[in-house]
Amino acid sequence: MDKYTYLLTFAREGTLAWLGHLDLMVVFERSLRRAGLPLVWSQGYNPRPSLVFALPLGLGVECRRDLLEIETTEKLLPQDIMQDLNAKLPRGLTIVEVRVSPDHQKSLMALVQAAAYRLEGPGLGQTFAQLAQKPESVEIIREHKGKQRSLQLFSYLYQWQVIDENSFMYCCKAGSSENLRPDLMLKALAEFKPELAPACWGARIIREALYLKGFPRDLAGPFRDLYNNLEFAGKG
Amino acid sequence: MVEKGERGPNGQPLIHFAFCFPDIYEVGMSNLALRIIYGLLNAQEDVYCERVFCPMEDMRDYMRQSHLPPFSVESQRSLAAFDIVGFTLQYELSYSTVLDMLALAGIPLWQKDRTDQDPLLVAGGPCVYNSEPVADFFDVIMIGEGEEVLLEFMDLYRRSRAQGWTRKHLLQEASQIPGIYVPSLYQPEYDEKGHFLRLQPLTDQVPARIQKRLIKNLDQVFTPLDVLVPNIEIVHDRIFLELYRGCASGCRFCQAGMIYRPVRERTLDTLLAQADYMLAHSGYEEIGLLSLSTGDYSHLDALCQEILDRHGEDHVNLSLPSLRLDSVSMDLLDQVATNRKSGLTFAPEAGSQTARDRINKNILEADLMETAEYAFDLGWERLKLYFMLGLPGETDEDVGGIADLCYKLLEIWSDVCRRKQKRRRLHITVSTAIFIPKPWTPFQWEGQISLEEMDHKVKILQEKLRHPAISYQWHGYESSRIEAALAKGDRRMAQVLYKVHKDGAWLEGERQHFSYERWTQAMAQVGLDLDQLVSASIPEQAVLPWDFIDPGVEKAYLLGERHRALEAQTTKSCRKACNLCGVQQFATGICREVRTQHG
Repeated sequence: MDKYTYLLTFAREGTLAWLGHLDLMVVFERSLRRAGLPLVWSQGYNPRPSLVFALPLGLGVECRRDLLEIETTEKLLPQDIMQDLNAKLPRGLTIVEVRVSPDHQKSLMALVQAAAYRLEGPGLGQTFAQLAQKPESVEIIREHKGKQRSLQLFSYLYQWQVIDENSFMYCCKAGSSENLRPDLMLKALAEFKPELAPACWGARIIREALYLKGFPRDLAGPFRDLYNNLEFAGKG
Repeated sequence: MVEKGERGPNGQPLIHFAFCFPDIYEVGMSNLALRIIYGLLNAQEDVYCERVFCPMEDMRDYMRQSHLPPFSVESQRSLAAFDIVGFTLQYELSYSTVLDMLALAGIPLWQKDRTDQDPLLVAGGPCVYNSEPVADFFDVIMIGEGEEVLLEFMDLYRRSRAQGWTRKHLLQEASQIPGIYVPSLYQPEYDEKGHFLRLQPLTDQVPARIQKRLIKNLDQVFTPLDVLVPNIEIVHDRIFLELYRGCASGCRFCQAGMIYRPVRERTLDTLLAQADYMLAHSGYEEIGLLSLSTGDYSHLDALCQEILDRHGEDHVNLSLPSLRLDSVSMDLLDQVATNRKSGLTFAPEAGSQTARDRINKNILEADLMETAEYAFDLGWERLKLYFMLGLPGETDEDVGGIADLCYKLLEIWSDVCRRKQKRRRLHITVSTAIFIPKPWTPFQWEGQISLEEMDHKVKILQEKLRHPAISYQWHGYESSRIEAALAKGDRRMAQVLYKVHKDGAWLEGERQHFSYERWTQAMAQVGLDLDQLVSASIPEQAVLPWDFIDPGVEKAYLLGERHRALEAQTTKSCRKACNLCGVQQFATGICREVRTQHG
């Protein structure tokens, strides 16, 4: 059977951010069915359509350029896929771009190296700027197999940018080997300045982009200049 | 945000209708009635129907603290800002949630306290066959199937707005629509001993008896084909294909089997066309074939085959709940069910043949064993068996019969394993519920067993079902007692409901939220005897609080069935012979077919 792989860039905003990742997967599956795309199905007991996300999108996180791959049994025009699918997706989810997927050996998920997040909320930008003055002092607790480890928050960050007093953006390690969840960043801010806690828990979280090893540069969002220079440490 | 004076496409004033399901989203969205009413109303140009559900505990606390009222899913409009608020009454323990949602919205609970500026409160659903416990809270109650009567009511509502009627005038006019019950135009009367005497119409303009509405031709009625697809997982997450309404089996404990008569089927062509459309437009991967007894649908085999032929390549699954216990069903299930892990469910309801004959659940032990053996051969390893405790005439031997059935099944399993030379364990789950006498069943005169008796019977089974392959689950005694009180109660129960509501009752269908003490205290305060209401048997000549409703089935028939139950005599299915239950008066569905066949 012939298989054709397409890379879809999608955005999610508004109330649809409040879907867990499993629910998001089902929403995409059903929308793909509605669009009538000739999908490849997995074998075995419980066949599922071939749909792979680069990185799970957490509950409450909006995104601008997240990536997913689909496999079809027929060759299709990327613009047709985009049009057909956008017509059937619920409001709040949009396909931003579709292209034939670049060749890659490892799975999409294994290629993720970094992610860019933007956080917005009263005083968040200002507070992060203060944190960034003394990066070595900021610690987060990570739990792994029942054991807690204390790590430096900034050891996960490649680059950052304070946009204004209420928002900032950063590029951090992401993926299967090392991953910094945005809520850990918010937790660090709230610990640094306890009166900021309500702003932290009510913060708007947007994943601006994902960075995959070896992928075309034009897929990257902010921190594009980093793209070629980023040292992708860990299992590449 | 309240938008007064919103206009429709032709400038006509919009009617805002809130469809309220008194439970959480995941439960409410699994309900077929919601989908039908929602689609029906939104197809009207000047009606905007939105859904309102009950929030979960943490959200509800937050809403109370912040004085946030319940709001609609679609536009977050607050409940009090709707023109009409409609509740579907699906189960009695949801009544306190109804009151909770109204109170959170700031809408006065009692009908007499509401002004013309407050939303109009309407109700429908299976519980309306005795809605007396909640009658004093509603303006209008619709009895029976809603597809026609609701639109007739909306027409009236439009006129009332155009002509500036008072609410009182609207209600008087509404009482003239067949199937509509306006509680405020009737008054209950009791004797000196506190027994219910009658429900007295306040004027001779209103009907003394209200007959249910039913749709004669299900192929032509509105069907919600533009499926509402949730973005999160709900309890029943699939397309609902309603095969037919009503049931011909005549099980004597079952209210649904009586109130939804006569059996009216949709044709194969209609169902296939509906399935095709719904699959294409929803993107769902599973269709549930719904009815009270799916195995009895005349063209089940052909329907399943055709759906699988057309859509099997797209990996569409079929869900077949409520199957009959026979090998035909097993063959079908074998072809259709992709997932055998969830197991097979059977509902013998009673442990001995005599007990089953009393309730007219016509399952022979030999059939159960044969079907089980067939299923085991096909590879099924999990069984769930449903029974009721406290059925009329039940003895300890009958209860013990439940265990006997289980052990016989285990024996058959061993035989199959030996034959197929495999060593695996069978998992049997036995689940017992407590019998609740329901209005409009042959058992409506019966009393429910006491808490002590419930305990006694459960203990018998706990002892006898002690086996590694069997797990026994029993359903709450106390909540069953209150469900019985609400099922059989009259308008005096409204006072009790009000008190438990004030005491914080909410989402009582969930075990952790149900408090028996709250109810017993409230009943004592109101001066009602719970034992008398729930456990005493009612004299056959008594007037019942729900007699003023006409579901089509006649009391004489129910009485006849009750007497047959005492003799453990069974009654054949309506598909085989007409039992003249009363619904033949509608001259539709299988009544017409069977009568022409058998005269």
